[in-house]
Amino acid sequence: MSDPKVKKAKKHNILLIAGAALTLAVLLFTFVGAFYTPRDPDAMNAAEKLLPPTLNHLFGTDKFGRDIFSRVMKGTLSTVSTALLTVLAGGGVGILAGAVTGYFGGKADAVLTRLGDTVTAFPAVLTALLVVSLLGPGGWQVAIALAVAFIPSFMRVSRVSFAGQRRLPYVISARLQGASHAGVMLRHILPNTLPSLLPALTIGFSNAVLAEAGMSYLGIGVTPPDASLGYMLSEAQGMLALAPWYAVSCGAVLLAAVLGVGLLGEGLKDA
Amino acid sequence: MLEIKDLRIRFYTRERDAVGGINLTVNDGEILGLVGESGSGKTVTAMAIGGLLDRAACDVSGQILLDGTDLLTLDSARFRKVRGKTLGVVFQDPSAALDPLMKAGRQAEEALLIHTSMTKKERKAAVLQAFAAVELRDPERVYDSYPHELSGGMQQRVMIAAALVTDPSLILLDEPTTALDAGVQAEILALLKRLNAEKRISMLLISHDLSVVRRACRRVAVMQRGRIVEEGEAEALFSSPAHPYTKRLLEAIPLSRLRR
Repeated sequence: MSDPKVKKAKKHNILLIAGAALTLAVLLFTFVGAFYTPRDPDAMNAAEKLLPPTLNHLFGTDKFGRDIFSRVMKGTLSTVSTALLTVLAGGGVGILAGAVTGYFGGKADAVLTRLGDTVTAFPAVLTALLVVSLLGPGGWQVAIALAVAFIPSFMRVSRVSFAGQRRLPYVISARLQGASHAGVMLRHILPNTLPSLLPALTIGFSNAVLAEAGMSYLGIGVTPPDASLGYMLSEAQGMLALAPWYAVSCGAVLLAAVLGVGLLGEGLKDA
Repeated sequence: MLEIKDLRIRFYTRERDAVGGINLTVNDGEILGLVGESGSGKTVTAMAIGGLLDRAACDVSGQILLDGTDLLTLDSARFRKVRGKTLGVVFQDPSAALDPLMKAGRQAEEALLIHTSMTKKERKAAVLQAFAAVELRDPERVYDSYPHELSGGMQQRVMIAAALVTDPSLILLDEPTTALDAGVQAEILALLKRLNAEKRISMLLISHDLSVVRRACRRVAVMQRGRIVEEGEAEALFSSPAHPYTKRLLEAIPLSRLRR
């Protein structure tokens, strides 16, 4: 009788496990890349130009003879840290703003929600472009720019959740035990909204990875000698015929990061 | 104790007063029953006592005196001190009134966490004592259970324990047995009576069900359309109702339940 349910639970478990494993692998790759790369990612070597993948150079070399594996490690570090910063800043501000507007409603809600809608009316990358042009290019500037562009989406999810919970009996009951508004929001409503907030955060992370890659690809992200996966993809495009392994390895890591976190979010949603 | 004087509540969106100037007194150590059908104003009265009315949406006048303090004049910071400390509240549906993601023990001790400087250990001891007082078997296990792991009756006992734990002077019970089945209903009512007798806690029991009120209360007030139409000793009121509305309410109870 409970068979279909068991099967369903199992399927979600697989999503969760696959997502967690992939995410963990990418994070490990990133973490190691922060302290150690097999070669200097920026060292050129005219004798080892355009080598296909071998044991010596796991992902081959580019047309300057740089070790692509080392470069991808470094690029992943910059991409993942930018995305994490985006989610932390954008998610933090957005969830807080959404919680306050959803819980209290009223004029502040109307004003902030319209403001959010206005920001949403422009494509995220365009908003980010505006902020970058104000702050100048660079790693953390891109993160802040994307955070600003992503705030409304986090705010909307959190606002809906808090607005939906604030009149529930358990919230009123907590209020009647003398809990303050902040206490109720933090201790009671927030844990109950996590099932909708966590997937929003993981989706936000995936979007941030892609958006950062996109911006770097367009040349408004990190600046050389720093490199991110997007920047390196645009680099790889120029030597696609000569060193296809460059584009493939950048793309594969990018895909792993987005897919892993996406699956994780999907798994969490139903866990 | 609790003294409601000429309480009048009017929502701006409605023509008629939701509560039209009622006077009500809950004496020390008494369970007062407040009965009436849906829309009679009993829940609005309860919300006013709990300070849950949106004062921007309605006009409230009169006085609600709890131990001599007029609740209607308190600002929200001072009202918070009253809630959970001198006033305990138990709601209709315990499964909805408990936070699904918080263990029963932690919820029951929340008022202590907010209002007292007790240590974690002291709070747990107090809650376990309250759990024992509401006749929960195996209080330790209940303390570490999530609401969904408890039956409806156990959940309502947890709610009552949560209201009891700060030793309030009044417990407000809004339809406390409506969501429970008949057997559990009788157990909870017996428990409330016993707590009232042993601890001398005053209670205001709000219900649409005359038979519930009859089993638990000595004194009853009947509310209709925002007014109190009849008030008196429960037995007298049930044997010879004076107001036609009370008669109609009585007639609405199946005979089999009246005999119990």
